[in-house]
Amino acid sequence: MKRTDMIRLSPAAIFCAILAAFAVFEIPVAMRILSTGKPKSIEKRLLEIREACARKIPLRMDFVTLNGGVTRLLGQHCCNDSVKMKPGGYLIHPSGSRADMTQNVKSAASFSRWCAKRGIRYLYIMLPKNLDVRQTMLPPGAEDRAYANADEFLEKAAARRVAVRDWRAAFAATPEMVLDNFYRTDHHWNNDASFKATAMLLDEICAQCDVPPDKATAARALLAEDSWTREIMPACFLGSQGWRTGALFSGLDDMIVRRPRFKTGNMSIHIPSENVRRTGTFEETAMWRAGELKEPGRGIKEKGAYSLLYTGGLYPQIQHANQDAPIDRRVLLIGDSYLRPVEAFLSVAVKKVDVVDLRRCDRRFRLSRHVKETKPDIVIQILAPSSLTSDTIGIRKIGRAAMFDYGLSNGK
Amino acid sequence: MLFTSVEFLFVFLPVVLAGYCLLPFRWGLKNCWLLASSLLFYAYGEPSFVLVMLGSIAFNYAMALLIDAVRGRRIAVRAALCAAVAGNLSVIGLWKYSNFITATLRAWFPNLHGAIPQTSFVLPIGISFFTFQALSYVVDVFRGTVNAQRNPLKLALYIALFPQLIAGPIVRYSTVCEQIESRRTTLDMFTRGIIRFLYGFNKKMLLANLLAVVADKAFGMSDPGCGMAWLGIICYTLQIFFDFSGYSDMAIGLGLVFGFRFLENFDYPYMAKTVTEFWRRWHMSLGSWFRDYVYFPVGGSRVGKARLVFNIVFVWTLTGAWHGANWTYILWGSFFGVLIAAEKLADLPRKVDENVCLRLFCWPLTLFAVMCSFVVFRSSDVSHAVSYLGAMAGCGHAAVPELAAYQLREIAVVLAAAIVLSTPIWRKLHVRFGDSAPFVAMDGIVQLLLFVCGISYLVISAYNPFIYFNF
Repeated sequence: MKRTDMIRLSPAAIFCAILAAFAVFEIPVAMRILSTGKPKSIEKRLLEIREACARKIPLRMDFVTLNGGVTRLLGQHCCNDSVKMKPGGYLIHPSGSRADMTQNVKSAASFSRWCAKRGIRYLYIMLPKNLDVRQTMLPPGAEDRAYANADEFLEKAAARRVAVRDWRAAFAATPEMVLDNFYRTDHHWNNDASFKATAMLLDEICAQCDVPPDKATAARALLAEDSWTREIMPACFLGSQGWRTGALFSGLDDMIVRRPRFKTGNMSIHIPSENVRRTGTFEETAMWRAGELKEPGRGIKEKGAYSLLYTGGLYPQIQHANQDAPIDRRVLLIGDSYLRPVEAFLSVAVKKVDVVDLRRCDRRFRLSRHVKETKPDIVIQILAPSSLTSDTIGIRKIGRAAMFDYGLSNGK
Repeated sequence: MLFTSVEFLFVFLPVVLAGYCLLPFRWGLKNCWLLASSLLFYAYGEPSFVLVMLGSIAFNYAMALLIDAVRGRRIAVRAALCAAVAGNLSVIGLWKYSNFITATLRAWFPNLHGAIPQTSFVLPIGISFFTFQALSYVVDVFRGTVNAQRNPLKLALYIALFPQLIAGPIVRYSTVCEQIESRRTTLDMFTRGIIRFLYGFNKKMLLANLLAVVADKAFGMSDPGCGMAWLGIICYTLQIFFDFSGYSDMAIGLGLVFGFRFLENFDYPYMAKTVTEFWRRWHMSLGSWFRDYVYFPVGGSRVGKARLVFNIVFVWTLTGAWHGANWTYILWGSFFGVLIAAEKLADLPRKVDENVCLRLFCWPLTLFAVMCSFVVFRSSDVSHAVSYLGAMAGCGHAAVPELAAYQLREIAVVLAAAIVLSTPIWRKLHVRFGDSAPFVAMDGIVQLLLFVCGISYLVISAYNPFIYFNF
């Protein structure tokens, strides 16, 4: 055999070894699906095999990271449908779907009236996303319709006399504001922005719930900048957009950790779905201890991961209580993952903060019944524009925006 | 099943390879294993359509035996051949063209909507390829260039052999009949096959798929503007070459791995100086199929000028229609027919061969003609093609003026690599350094590294269509 033939043999052997190594993991996946007893059509089984083989491939995240690295080497700004925006290389997964907001507005208006009949105030707050309001950050040709949906919702809701607030300009009026307020690898706002949002939310609560001025002043003091420590954990967080592209493409985000300088000790939190019930200081109740909670798919440097720092978000219901809080009111927040860590920050100032994520509640849950039982002073629905369409909310799969499923039957 | 899919690479191929290596050749075990694997491969995409293919195999098996049996009787053998041709054309006509024909008739004669029901057949993958292979087999039996295959499993293996089943190359029975009977995979064939497969895989994953993103964006816009239209068609021209030649490389490579030697299907078509030469370099197995089974039987070039023009345009119109049931494909084929006929009448291919200056002049013109033809080929309908060509000519206004510059920056590296690799530079390097150990080692390492990068694109489930699956 010639020397070149011998050399040529090596890559062929390595190729076969790669095939064999992956086959060891992938063949059992395919066999498992083929051998399941449930009666299914051949097409369905083959589709399942296709999806499972791609999903369960070994070293999946490493391949994603490699792909991000290759994309970067090729000088491209779009990887796995995530687009790098200018300035700052912020990642966005453009949401193309434009939806009719009529039904959402109708539901919100009905619920607003239903609350008013019971002496409960209802307020809708439209949050920003990681994109400036004029969308100048998007590269040419990329489209994002979430703000158009938000505009339509706010306009129609105001016409139906629903109390609405638009906070988008406060956080994302310009690209520079987006850089300050959002993670680069994640669609959520950072802990500085959510802290600022909590102060704005407190102002709304004070105004809407007739909080005595001295209590309001005391509460504002608790949520003042200098009442909290601010620590930066550098390059420790890869957000959900970053998980699509890998850190080689997107880099890692810093995490900002805020802790109260003032004394807390009479706080409690209850997360029914996780069977978590804790009492103590802010750190003991509103912050997860390292390794306390395991979340699939959030492996990178877990201690700093967004979902593992503060409690909240991702659960159907959370109840915060704080005996020392100056504002003696019960606030019900209906929201999405943007509520983290707003609810935790707010709980230092308000005695009872209940949180409901309607996407995650099971079908038996009815918000109207929950409101009747808990009797909040105010219901604040606080959503990011992406939560206005049903396609971003696949959790309940009810075919429409679950965020507006208040559990009212015939408006009663 | 796609060659560029996780389930093919890490489930199907390892199992088939392992079984193939372990089984002995005697009692036809290797062939049976390959046939079973091929049927599974086809069924994976379209479980029910495997029956169409099996029906086609059974029909052509019987017709070839019939032709062989009545060989001495002139009328009977011709009748048998006609029946075989009609049967095969019926299969392809029913599944591929009936929707188009009924839709066209209903559009032309709206009063006859009641009399002409709109059919809605789903196109079985690769029907054009396996039907043409089967057709070539029965015609070759009729011509006496090959013997009728008595063993239905062997004929089934020829028609259904998975490396070339879905997107070619169109393999003649005469090319592989001896290999089906008896073949041996040497270690050299195996390693060359793997390397060839890697070439194809990398072409497809790292060039064609990435170029496709820009091409699809351009063709998806109602008004792309001049810059984006040009960028789109340049990307598409390169995409379709690397997509299809990549698939052919993978098919040829897998063929070698299993002991089959398929003929080449591409020879750097964008280096062609005339359209005639382009078609000698592009999808060579299809071009030679139409030449041998349509062009020559209708008289070829040994006829008068008028008949010659008719023959050429007719054959190329059929070639266009072979690609799909749409006016765009028919127009595309006819366009080439007219150009090739004009070249033939002007004796351009010979003149170009003899004149260097003419060669330099004709090369960009040919490339331009090919790109314009691909606009028609890629467009959803004729009006789309016209508006796209208009955009290339500078008519209309870009919806997003800065898009072309942005997309060019995005694709620049890939585009540059694709342009370089569409020339014979790599082949010349192989000829020059093919026996040099460092070059062979570097080639292998680069291909393996690119393969791993290609897998990363598979894992993120990025854009991954095969253009020629549609045909």
